Amino acid sequence: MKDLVKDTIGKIKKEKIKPIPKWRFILDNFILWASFFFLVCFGAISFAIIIRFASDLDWSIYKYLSGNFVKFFLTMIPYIWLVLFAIFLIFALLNFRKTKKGYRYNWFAIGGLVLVLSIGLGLLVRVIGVEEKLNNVFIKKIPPYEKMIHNREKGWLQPARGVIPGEIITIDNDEITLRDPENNLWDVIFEDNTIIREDLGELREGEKVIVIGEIEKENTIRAKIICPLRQMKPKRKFFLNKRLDPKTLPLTPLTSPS
Amino acid sequence: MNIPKKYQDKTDLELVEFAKKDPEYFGLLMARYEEPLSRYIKRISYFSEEDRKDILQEVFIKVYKNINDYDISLKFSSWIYRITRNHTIDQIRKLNGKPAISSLDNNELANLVKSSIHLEKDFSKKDFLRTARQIINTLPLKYKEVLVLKFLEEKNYEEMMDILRKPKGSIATLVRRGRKLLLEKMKDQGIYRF
Repeated sequence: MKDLVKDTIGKIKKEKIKPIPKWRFILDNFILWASFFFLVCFGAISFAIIIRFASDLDWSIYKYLSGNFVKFFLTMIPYIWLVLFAIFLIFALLNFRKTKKGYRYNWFAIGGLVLVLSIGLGLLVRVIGVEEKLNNVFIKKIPPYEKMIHNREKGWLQPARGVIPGEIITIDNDEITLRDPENNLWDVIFEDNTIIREDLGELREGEKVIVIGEIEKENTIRAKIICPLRQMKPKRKFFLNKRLDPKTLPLTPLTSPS
Repeated sequence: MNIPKKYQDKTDLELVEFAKKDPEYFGLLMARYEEPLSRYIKRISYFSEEDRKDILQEVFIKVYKNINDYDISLKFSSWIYRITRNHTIDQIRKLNGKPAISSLDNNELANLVKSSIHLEKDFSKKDFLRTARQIINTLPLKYKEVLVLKFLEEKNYEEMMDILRKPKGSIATLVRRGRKLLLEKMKDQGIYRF
């Protein structure tokens, strides 16, 4: 009959089997926690960029666009950051579960922890402004990313509801020519009672704006409101962007052109 | 080397510390766990006695190699059960087999079913055991192994959590669902709880 204990000790001695040094386990553990930390940090950066885009949106005019809030949000925030945020969260969660005691907590508790950490750090990143620098680097170094950001402007383009975003090409006394994100030229007629948002400053060529009004005829719109088309660009006001004064705006969304 | 008898009374934790310096002390730990672990492997697999010995030797060598990774905040028995469970399941998968409890002896089988679903009524032994074995063998592994740990190995939820690396809530859910499933299958076979 095989004596398991004696045989095993014999095997250990014969094959000179040694316990794996403790530092190896400490290193493995450190790598696991470091990966968790970096995944949470990447998640935080993604979140910071998402809220930066969100805070750059003009929420006061979203009611003029079709669709619900979620659709509007998903249209205007680059998908890549939403997807990356979700990926980093999932990997951080899986990573935490692999730690020595990670299995003791349920998925919701770990998910909540990872979410709170990412959002908390994301707000910190947003205050410091790291996300802005990164976004600028991505725009400069990754051409498809810049194109993707530009495509967000198409989300505003809803001629049927009298909403035209675009770049001012020329300015006359009471008319401007606008090029929309699909390269169509629009004549924008404005009058004394047209509201020009004060944070837009003076209208000038090259400025990106959103015109809300009524379509008079093909490629001609009579402007009621002209707002700046906010893009993610350097500024240091945290959640203090100027908003349309609700008192100066019509209470109900503009109706479709007749 | 002969280990003085006084060391046999040492706790697992103390023996772990000695074993890090000398494998002879590890022999005491092996002697302590050989029988319960062999029985546990038998309960979650269908390996022959010879195969179980081979598996157990591999488990002990794995434990010895990783002894510096043992976390003293959990019971040594939970840790060694976890390694045994994982290694046994790996071996079953290598052989492309499904874990089964067909190697449970009749008493173990009867105990498992009776304690899982609080069966009180007496049945014709032969019929009952045959049916119970069929039913246990159709249970998914995740339910079978929690029922074995709880009702045959008599582990508490804390230990089961450390052995299976699942949160306590999930363990409780698996036990509840396993019992429910077992009960349903017993009813389907005409065996009722009274």
